[in-house]
Amino acid sequence: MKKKLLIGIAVIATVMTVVWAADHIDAPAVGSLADGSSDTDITDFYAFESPTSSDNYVFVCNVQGLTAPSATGGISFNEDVMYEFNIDTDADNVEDLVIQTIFRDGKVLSFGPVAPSAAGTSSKIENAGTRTEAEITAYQASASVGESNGIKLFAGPRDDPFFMDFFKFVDIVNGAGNSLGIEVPEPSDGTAYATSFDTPGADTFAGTNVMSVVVEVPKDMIGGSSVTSFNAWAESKRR
Amino acid sequence: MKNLNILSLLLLSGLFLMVSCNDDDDDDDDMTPEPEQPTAAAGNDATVDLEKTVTLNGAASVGTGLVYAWVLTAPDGSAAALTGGDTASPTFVASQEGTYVADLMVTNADGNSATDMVSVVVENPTYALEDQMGRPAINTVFNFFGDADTKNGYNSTLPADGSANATAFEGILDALQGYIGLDSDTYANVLGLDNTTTATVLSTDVLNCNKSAATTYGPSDLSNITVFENVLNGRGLSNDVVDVTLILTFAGDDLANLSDLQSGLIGDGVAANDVSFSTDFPYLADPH
Repeated sequence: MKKKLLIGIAVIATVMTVVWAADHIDAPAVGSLADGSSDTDITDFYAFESPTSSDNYVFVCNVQGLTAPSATGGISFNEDVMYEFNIDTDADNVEDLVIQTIFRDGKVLSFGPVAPSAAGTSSKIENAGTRTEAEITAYQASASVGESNGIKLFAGPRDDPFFMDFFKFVDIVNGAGNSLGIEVPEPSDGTAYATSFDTPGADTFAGTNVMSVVVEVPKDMIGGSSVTSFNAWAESKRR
Repeated sequence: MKNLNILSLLLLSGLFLMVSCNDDDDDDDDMTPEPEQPTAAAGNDATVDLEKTVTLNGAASVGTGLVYAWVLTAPDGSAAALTGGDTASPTFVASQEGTYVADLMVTNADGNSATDMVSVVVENPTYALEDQMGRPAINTVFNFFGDADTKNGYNSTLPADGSANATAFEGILDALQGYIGLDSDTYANVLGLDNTTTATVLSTDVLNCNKSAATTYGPSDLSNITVFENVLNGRGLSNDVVDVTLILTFAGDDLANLSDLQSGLIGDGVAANDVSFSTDFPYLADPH
């Protein structure tokens, strides 16, 4: 059984391309080394209790990873793209609430948390309920924060908070692939694949920026006080 | 104040019209100049996406000293708010799906009026999924050897359908552990989970969040691990998710007795972000 799995992996891996992490440029449809990270390429998703209030929860969706400082001022959000935080409050991994963010006329708008009219891969704007807006923060401008009903909203360029020695990871895993007979790139040092990380490692994402959307909401808006745990994920969607 | 002015104008124009009528009775007197008749032009019909700010354009209206008065009716029949409703180019936010109708009346200095209307169709477009993400680096790590279709397909897989990937994910865990001489059949990680269970958990690509326990992706107390409470509970900005993933993959369940190979693989040597996070919203650091 185990051998079959390994052979399956080897068969699937007819094409091996270098990819970046966390999920920066993780699939050709949203980004590649040649084309860069697109406006729907989610690099990272964060969900955490607010550092400023234990009554609140924070959701972060980052896109357009590996943006150089010199290029950051030239990129913006796309009015045809929606970033949607999905929240499952009854443990079936289907969203019961969404927080949608869209971009209009230099502003970021958020709707919700609101029960969507339909769950799944297609969304419509759910603007019947809570609405928050903020100016999109320009590169090198101080953060513009919108607030309504206890919700805070931000959108603009930020430092990429992800940190990892990604190239060392790739070299190590390529070594594993090579040992399985999968076609992988040559060792990065030209002689042998790494079998351990360096101390210290080199942060591949140091000095790079992302486009970031951050929403902070009262925990009570996430299913009320009876919901103590929930599942969450981010989606990028295009009109 | 504006409304009072308009009202005064209307009253004056009424008087003027009465005077004019009286003048018309006097056949011999044609000395009064012909009153100017203004033309109203409310602009072109348009179609926009929901929540767009729409700027109406009445600037093609013709007349001397025109006073503009717009009235906007929302798709649900209610009166909708306009900014600058007494100017040539007022604006409104298209917050309802359907057809807005804007009626324009222009009144010139002679007090004569003309009207026009314009329709703005507001669509609520359908947005289609392009990328889904819950836990960090799942597509990157577990589809490392996958082809383009595998990687693209994963990004449009909903969490509820993610368990279909569990077998492939387990294959990756087995392969990585076999590579460094670990027995994947008997492997258990620090959470006490075998590869089958770990792959099943990770393939449902969500962040599990507990409202009543502090956020931490990695185990905050190795001696008393409670999954989704003090481990795999949300994801904070400073959480070292890469080390957590490496520990789950390579460390087994006994951190005190690691081989040299294991020791070199359970941390990437990058323990923190290159710049500090902010203590205030939006928490992420300013861009470089």
